[in-house]
Amino acid sequence: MRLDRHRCRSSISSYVLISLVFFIAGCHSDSKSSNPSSQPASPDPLIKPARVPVKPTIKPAVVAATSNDWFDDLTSKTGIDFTNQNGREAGRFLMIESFGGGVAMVDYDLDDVVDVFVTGGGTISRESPIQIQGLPPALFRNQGDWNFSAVTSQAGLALPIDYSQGCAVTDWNSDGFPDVFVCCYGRSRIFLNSGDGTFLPAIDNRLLPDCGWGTAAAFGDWDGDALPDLFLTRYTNWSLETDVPCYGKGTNHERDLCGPTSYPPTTSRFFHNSGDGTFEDWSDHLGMTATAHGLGVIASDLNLDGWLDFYVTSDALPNHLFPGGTDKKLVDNAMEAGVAVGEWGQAEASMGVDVADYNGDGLPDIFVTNFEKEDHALYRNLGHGMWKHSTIAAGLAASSRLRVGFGTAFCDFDNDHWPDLFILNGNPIYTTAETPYAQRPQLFRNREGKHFEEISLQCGPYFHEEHSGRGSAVADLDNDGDFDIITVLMNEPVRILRNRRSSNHFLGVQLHARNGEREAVGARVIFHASERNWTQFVVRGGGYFSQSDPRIIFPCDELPGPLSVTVCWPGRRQEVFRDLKTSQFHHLIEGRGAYEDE
Amino acid sequence: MNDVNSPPRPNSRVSLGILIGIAIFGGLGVAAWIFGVNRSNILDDVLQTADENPAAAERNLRQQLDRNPSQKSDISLALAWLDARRDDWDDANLLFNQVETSTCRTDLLFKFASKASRSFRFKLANRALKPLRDRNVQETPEALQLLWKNYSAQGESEEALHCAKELLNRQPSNHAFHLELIKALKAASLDVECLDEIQKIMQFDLPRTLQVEVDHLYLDQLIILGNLQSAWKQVETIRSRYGNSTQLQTKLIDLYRAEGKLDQALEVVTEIFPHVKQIPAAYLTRGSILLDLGRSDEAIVDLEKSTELEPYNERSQFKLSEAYRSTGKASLSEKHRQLGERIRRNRVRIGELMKELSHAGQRDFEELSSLHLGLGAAETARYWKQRAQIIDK
Repeated sequence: MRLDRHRCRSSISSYVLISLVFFIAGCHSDSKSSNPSSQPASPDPLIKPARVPVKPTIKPAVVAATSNDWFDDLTSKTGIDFTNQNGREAGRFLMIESFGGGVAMVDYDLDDVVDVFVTGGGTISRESPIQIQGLPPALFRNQGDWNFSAVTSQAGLALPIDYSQGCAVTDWNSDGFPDVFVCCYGRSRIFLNSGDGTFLPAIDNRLLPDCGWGTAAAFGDWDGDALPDLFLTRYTNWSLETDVPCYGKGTNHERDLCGPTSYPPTTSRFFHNSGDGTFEDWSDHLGMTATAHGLGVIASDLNLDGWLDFYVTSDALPNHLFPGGTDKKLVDNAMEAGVAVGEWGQAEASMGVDVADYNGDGLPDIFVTNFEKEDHALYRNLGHGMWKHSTIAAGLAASSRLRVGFGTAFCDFDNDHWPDLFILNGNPIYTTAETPYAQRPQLFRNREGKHFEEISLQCGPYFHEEHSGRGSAVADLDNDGDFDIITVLMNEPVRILRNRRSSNHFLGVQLHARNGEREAVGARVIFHASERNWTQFVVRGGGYFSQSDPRIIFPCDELPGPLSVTVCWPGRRQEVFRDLKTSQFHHLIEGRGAYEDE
Repeated sequence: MNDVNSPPRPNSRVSLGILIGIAIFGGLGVAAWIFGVNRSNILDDVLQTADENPAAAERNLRQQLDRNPSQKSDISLALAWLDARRDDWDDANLLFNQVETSTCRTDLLFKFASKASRSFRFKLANRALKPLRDRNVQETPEALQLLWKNYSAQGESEEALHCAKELLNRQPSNHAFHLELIKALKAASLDVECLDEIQKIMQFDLPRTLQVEVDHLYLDQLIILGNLQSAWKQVETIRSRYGNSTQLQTKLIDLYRAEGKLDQALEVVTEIFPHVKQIPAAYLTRGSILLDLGRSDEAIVDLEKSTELEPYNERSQFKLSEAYRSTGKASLSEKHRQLGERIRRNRVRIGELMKELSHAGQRDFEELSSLHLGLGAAETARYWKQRAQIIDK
């Protein structure tokens, strides 16, 4: 009965209310009628402006630099002032905006100091029809003492190319000068180094068949013909015509960038170097049917069988491993090898990748950066082409669950031989993910190959700043025997971080093969220290969309005298190079050392 | 000052109009109220006989429908409810379409929605519940709860969360609702928001049983989000409040593993194992730790037991595959990897279908049933089989 009374009361109230509403509406009959034609048209979701500022709020460093910092930010001193752009300001929320750009460390003028090449990204028009346009890359010549000069125009690189993302370095035409390859939405292309400080863009279909949007690339000799082949990862076959609008999950329904599940995955492509400057697409012929949302690729001899392997990171799908071998097939066996998935067998959203021997057993281990609420993946090499997910055992679980890792470097920053881990973070989703768009980078110190310890806050003011980081690479920019860091941020200037933990003595080497592919990708170098050997690997690709310094550095404070290293050339005899002076870089040319049997 | 001879001003005419309007429409309202009470009583009388003699009740209602066309909406709703009670959903649907849901009887609308929900007619139920949500009446919280439940059952987690939040806004100190919201956020993998809500509920003076649950949920979320420093503080809080429980010990294992302290994790799992050995997860946890410690043969024993107790756990199958892989037993490794993959694929497919549940058809429900059957969940498979028989409009 109580309910009925309530109902009746609400009935009377509603009658009175309705009558009043009608009456008052009648009194205002001369007010403007709701003419549908006078209302604004339903906005096109594609041209809805972004609700967020074009640039994320950058929190200034809250700490001052100290003398104990591992790194200091020398960007303003270097003269490097360049921003990779993704076109966010148009408010279009296109798929290609997520991924950012890369950086290649390349000594393009062969003056023995590493120069810096950065991809430009592109712009997206606010007006319809949507126009996606690429921005030119930038090249900065290293003049020493942290002075760089912008030589993009002189080098002939200030050209409007397609919307660019990753980059890679190789000697495409075997003329002794490193060329630069740029991955684009539209048409990926090579910039051929003329040897006189200029580059010539080459996009001829005869040189390289068009294969759509490429994200990252790595070069190496896969078939043993001494020529570098190209492995190109792709994300999806996205185009403006297939674009779908995406919105945040949960109760945050704002328009945002799409995640990986919105578009189907696609295959990576393998291009064989024909030796006359042209590349052929062998992907189908080699059985490359595995599909991925490919974002990262690294080339090296990962299973130490003498053949070049390619490892591909994939967003929200299992990662791929394409081992090389005599069967001349490129078939993914990452699952069998134990490098495909996460701790519990789940596919993860993988981006960056790097390779190093983190536990001193002489075998290449693989590190992969992943999305928020996933642990990064450290795959420990067990030998015989098998790896084990070892994130937990290495103490790396949980440390990055509120971060999205992109660029990474598996590199000894403190000159104790043990490779540490640098991770450049940032969310690809603008506003609706669980973690912020701008995030702090991280650095994990390797404690004698047993576990990693986060020491980010000891690394200097830059490590207290939040940015949306993407590509990163390491290079010894001042030839002082340690690796510095270069980061590519979304719509913010590139940053240069100087490593301040220099060793007193080091041994730097760069390999030059004569009986195989010139850069000896897949080779390994063993340094004979007093108590143990240390192994490093010649890899290409990696980081994220980037290429690090091709040189290898061993710290050797404990052994200041002339030293020796053993080079295991891929698929060939190993060779010892003796009497190498410390604190300088050596070009190790195949055949100039002493061969020895394995 | 007004001139008495001056003509009435326009605003005086408007005031007079208002008064006349109120008088006319107010009078009509009163009349309608009186009339409505009578009609309401008639409807109530008929409905009271529905349990004993539904056929008679229906006859009476149909007579009323002819006699009181002005009350057509409520009578149609009552008839729809009677049809729903005997699972005649085609007729119920037709009658419900004639109901003016913005003004009809609240109690009847809720009854109808409840019956439709219980019969998996979620779309129909939600059509009845949404007006109740907007009316702000006594039934609104119950209607919101039911909407939340229905949206969840339809896989519409975003709508479900909206309801949960609205419910909590109406009754901010209702801890049961708050806890349900926390669990819904967790289920939707909105872990950061879930942690925020846990922190909010922690501000209340909670009954002890709830406090225990919330304290452990908080610890869980801290570990999930990798805030290990705060997690350790929370361990101390829990320990000081309730002592060392097995539940807390299991969290310690998670914490030690997250820090890479596998020896300590193994020590704790060994200590509590006698109390948890009937739980498959205990074998999975110990097996995983042993595997990470490189003790693969011991790991295999535990992981075999784990897969025996819980054969449809893809994590157990994957870990067992890894353990065999590390001992060089490739074919066994491959067998369990594929088993795990098949289970995972099934779950992924279930997830895909659940996301589209609001648009699902008979074939989708049947697929869900078959997928669950393939995962050994016979009861859930039956549920979806049942749903497959229902056409929810």
